[in-house]
Amino acid sequence: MLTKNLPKKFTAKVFFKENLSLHFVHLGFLPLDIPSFEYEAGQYISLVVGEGVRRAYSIANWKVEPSGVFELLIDTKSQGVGSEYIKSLNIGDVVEMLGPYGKFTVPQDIQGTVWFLATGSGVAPIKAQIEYLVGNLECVGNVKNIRLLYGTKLEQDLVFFNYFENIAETSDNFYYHLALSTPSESFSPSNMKSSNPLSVWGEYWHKGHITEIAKNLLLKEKPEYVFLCGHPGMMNEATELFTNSGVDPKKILFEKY
Amino acid sequence: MSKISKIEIDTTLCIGDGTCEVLAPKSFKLNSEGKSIVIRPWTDNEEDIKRAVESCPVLAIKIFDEEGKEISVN
Repeated sequence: MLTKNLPKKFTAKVFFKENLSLHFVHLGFLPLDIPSFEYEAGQYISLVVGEGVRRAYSIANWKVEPSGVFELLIDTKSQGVGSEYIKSLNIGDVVEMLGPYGKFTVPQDIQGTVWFLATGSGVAPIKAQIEYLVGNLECVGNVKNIRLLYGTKLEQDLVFFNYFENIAETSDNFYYHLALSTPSESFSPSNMKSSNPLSVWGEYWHKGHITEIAKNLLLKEKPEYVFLCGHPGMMNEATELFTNSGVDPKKILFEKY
Repeated sequence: MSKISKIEIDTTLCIGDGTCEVLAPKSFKLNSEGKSIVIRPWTDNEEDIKRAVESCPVLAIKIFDEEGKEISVN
């Protein structure tokens, strides 16, 4: 039950906007008429995208900057009213939104090994949660390994690749696995600008779905907590997989897209 | 001020956020499918119900007056 940080209506200025791929747009917003925007990693906002129309988008960062800028990652593939509105935004535009919303947050008593499974733009809230956990390991529960299993169809849609790779390099307990379900024929993981010597198809790069990576990893490690966000098929398959593997269903947390 | 005489929830839009249930717990609750439903008869005061309507992240809740006209809260 949502008991704190009840949603407020506020305006925000587009602080940055970058196209990460053909469809994925990464935006930063600076709140204007509230002293600070308080939210928990994994929550989302509701953006006014037209007269009487709002769309919900997950916040893609945890607060590390005193500027108060928060980020969204939006998949504009649907070409719906929300996507068209996002594409029309320019830096400096002022938008209206409400937030924060959502219960897909990191429990304060989290512990053990934590796995995050995300597909497509479902990586947005997961990125915020990972930033929160990695940045607060000393004061959040007793977390051991953190694994991100992230999948897209095409290599072009793999967003935040270098960002997560950097976390994996600088953090002792963060592991990053990638799956591409339909990569182009010419693609090889070694094409990616990566310092990871394991940039080959194998444990860290998989041709297929992230649930297949999960099945293999489950042979050697069982997560205490699992966070899921992305394609409904992945979420259903992953929920069944982890439940059958003995993960406490109460510790399988998810956000439906 | 218009008096609320009917509350409708578009369950195809509802994403089960539950903010309505928090703001007007005597009027809304999430069902077993995670969708908001109206508790009848609703007993929250009108301001709480209007806050719940305004706060719905996807504007899935509509309220109507005694003449069947939608009451705008935005």
